[in-house]
Amino acid sequence: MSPGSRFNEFRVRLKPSLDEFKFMVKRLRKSPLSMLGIAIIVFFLAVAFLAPVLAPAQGPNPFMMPHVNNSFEPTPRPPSAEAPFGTAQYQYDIYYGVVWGAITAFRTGIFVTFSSILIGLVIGGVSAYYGGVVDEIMMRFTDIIFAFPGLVLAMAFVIALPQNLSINLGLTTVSFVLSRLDRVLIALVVVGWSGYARLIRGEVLRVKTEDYVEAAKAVGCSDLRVMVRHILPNAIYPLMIAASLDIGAIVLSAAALSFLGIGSDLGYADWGQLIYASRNYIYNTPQAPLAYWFTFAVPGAFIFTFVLGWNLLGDALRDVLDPMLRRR
Amino acid sequence: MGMRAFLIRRVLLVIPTLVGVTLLIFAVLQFFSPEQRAAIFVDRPGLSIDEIIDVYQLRAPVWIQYANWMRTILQGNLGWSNSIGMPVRDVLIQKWPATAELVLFTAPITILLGIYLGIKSAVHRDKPLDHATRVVSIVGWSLPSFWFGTILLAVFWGWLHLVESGQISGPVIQYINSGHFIKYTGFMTLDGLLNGQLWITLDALKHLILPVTVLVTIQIALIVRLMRSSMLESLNKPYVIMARAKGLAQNEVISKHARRTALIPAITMSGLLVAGMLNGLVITETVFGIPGLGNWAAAAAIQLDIPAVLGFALFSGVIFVFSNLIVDVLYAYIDPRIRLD
Amino acid sequence: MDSNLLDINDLFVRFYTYEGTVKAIEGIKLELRKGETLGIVGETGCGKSVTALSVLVLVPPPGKIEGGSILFKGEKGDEDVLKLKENRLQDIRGEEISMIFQEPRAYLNPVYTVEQQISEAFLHHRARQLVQSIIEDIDKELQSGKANGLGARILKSEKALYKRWQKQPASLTYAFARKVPLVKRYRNRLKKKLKETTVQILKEMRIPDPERVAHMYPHELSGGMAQRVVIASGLVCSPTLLLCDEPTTNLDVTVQAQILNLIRELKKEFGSSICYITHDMGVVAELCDRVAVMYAGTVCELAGVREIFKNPLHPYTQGLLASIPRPGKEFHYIEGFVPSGINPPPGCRFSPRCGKATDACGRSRPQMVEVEKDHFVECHLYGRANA
Repeated sequence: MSPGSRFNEFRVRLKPSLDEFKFMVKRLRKSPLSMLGIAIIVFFLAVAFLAPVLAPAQGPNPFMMPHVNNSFEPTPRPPSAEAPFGTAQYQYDIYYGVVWGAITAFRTGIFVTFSSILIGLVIGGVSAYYGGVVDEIMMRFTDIIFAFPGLVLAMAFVIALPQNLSINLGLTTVSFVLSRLDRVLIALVVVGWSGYARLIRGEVLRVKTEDYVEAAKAVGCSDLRVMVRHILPNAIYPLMIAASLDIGAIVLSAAALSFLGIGSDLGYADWGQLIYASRNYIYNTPQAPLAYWFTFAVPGAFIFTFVLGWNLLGDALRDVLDPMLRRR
Repeated sequence: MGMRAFLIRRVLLVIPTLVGVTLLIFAVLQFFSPEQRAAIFVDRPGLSIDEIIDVYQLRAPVWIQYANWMRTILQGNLGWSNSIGMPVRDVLIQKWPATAELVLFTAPITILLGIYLGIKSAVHRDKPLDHATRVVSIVGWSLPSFWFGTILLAVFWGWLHLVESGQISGPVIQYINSGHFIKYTGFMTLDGLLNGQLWITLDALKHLILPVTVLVTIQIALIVRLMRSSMLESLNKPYVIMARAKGLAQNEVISKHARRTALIPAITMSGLLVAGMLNGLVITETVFGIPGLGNWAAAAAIQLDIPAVLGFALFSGVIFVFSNLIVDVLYAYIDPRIRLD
Repeated sequence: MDSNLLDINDLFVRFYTYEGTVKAIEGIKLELRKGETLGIVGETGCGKSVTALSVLVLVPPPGKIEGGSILFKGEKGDEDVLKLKENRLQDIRGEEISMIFQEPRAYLNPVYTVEQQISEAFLHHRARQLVQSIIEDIDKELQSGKANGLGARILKSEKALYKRWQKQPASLTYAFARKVPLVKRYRNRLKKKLKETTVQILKEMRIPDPERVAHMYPHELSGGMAQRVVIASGLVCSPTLLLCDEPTTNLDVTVQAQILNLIRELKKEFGSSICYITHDMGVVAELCDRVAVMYAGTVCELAGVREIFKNPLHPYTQGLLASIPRPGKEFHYIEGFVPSGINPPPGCRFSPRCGKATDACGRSRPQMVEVEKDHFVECHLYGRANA
């Protein structure tokens, strides 16, 4: 078949999906909440991309927050000309921290979601496709991890992961140095894949019994081809909803771990880390907790808004896609 | 099949699930070095680390280690918590009431309020109440619990001086230590009543308001959204049209027909809610200084107190297994189709 | 006309969906006479079910009844159903006009037993009479003197509760009493009466072993059994009019025959008039006295059953009858597709597919005309056009 006609065939085949996609976008545009969510996400994307411009790096690692005036004074200082959002404990520049923290937030959310989806795809897909005992055992295992309180498990994993990870691959040994943030990310992936595995499995099971899959197999399509060509495209929409809601949850969990003190390193540009740094000045001074309000209000506001944006988008997607999914 | 057979089967299913939970915790345990793992096998100081490693074969193959560990657990030995200087088992016994009290107040409010709002949103779809509920629940779900809690504390404690952090205030602690107070249950609200000291109960309630508010606000979204969509689906079901064709009034149709089937997913969610609450509890107890299990686990994590964190994880696992059991039983009671399985 | 039980005039029903406004029913006229079985035939999507739902004002959103009148000769004389208040409508539904549906197990609530669902309608409509007869029963027992001190006291308090219910069905005391464990025993009398009614009507449905079936759940019933249960709940209050929305379509042919037979017999026993919706002309031939043929939201032809089979006037009816497969005959079908409800063709809805269409057919919609005695057609071939 010539490349030109193959491309045309692809376009023809894709048209109904494209139409559905366009319809979905049209419906999304009508909902003010979803527009707000998208606007928020775009805003943070802009902050993340413009970070080097908004808050120029002052050291070899741009993710380490600079000390304002090179001072290491423990007491935070209110907003001033040099530090528009004030300084945190040890004079870390809060403004710098929240700007570069946007990048950290995106990295965290996207990396964890992406990896979780990947692992979930493999495990859920294989489990559902082959069924039987394999399915039973894998699903029991997945269910246990899924229903287990996530933060608790993540806590256990974060402190368990070593700083130096060596994997023996037979011929060579691959070593990684895991920063504290890396450990948080890995822990969240370990906790997070189970949700996607269940989702994918559900979709595969649903599609597996459809007539067109049987027809494809009768014509001789290999298992993998059936999986990729027929099953996966149908799972895209529920996956989209789950992913956008999940990114928010992941950033919250990461921030929570930082708040507890087992997250990223001190001084790392991470919103949760900034809140951790403010702990001493909120709890230990009950007589004047409001004096240092900026140390936790500002980073917290950023976390809240970021998560809100993704949740608004995910919720709107769910609203729009629900009737579409049910039409099938 | 009938309820009885179903119940028996379901209860028996608990055992392999519990084994699965222990396997999971054990897997995490293996990430630590033998020296670090030593503390989980003894519940009082005394033996040196090397001795422990020998006795419990911490360098032997995994299955032997697992067998050893299971044996110590079943004997009631959950290790020694360095951060607090007590055996883990004793910590669990001592601190669980404070945590349970929080859960006891939060769960019913979240579930009942969530169900109510969810049903109302579905019945009055796309009207102001529906939109308002939706916005409030999304906002609540997006709030970082530590941030929201801290702000509430700062406002109501630091500024308005209406409440305090902690579980009970100073005068109450003094009274408890004075010897007149008998700890019947460990639940401050209940003990206050049982001792005839109403002011203690009121004091405990005052301290519960903020943490419960935080937990409810954040978690209510789960129930509301689920109940709403479940109710919408239920209202479109054929048998609801049938009920209306029989002449039943709208509220009767809703409460008798639509609601019952709509409640089914909400019950499952409530079970997951309890598990999820353990997450929120770690943060909330830390923020509000409530001397419960979450607070202990949080402090333990940062101090690398492994037996404590893993003991807490194990405890959480057991809790979720049993809450799932209760949910499944309730489910079968409400929906007779399940019993056929 | 005076002997008309139901008079539908100029009914318009629209569905406001995301893709556009579906004009489901465009100005139809139907009449149903007392004691007859009227069949409504048509393809899927022609508006038959919506018509039936409109009679009970149960069109689900995003649908809305936009105009017309539906006159019903009920217990309170002639009423326009579309103008009634919800209270009166609830009285009519289930009591004077009942409806049964297509997939019986979907239309039965899976979490309630057969008995609960059948007695539900009965209780709702006959509460007063039931309670009155219970009070009379209690009085009889009290007078018979069999009950001693404590027993008599219990009986008297039960009677008081029932009397309270009679006077104020919505009182709180009663609502509480329903839930409190010991007190709710008083409901046992009521439950017994309801059970008797249920078993009785299940017997009339020719269901074997009705006592056992009463306790079963819908998913435990076979298709035919479930449909009988649905019919039972429809007939339990002896309605004047029974609307049937394709009740046998999803059943096996043998079961279908049984149910049709049952409906025929029940009609004689209960004296109800029936409106039977189907897409199967064979069922129409067996069951109905008169039949209306619907297409794309309009009524094409309305006549007696014999007349329509002998002398179909509308091209669509002719096509339908010709499409019934017969051995030895070549397979016949009507060209084209059912038009979209959002953009129906101007003029006669059938004109794009009609072999005998003229220019006028594509331009304007025909009016319904009585071509022969009691034989109405909506077609330009037979009448004057609608200006």
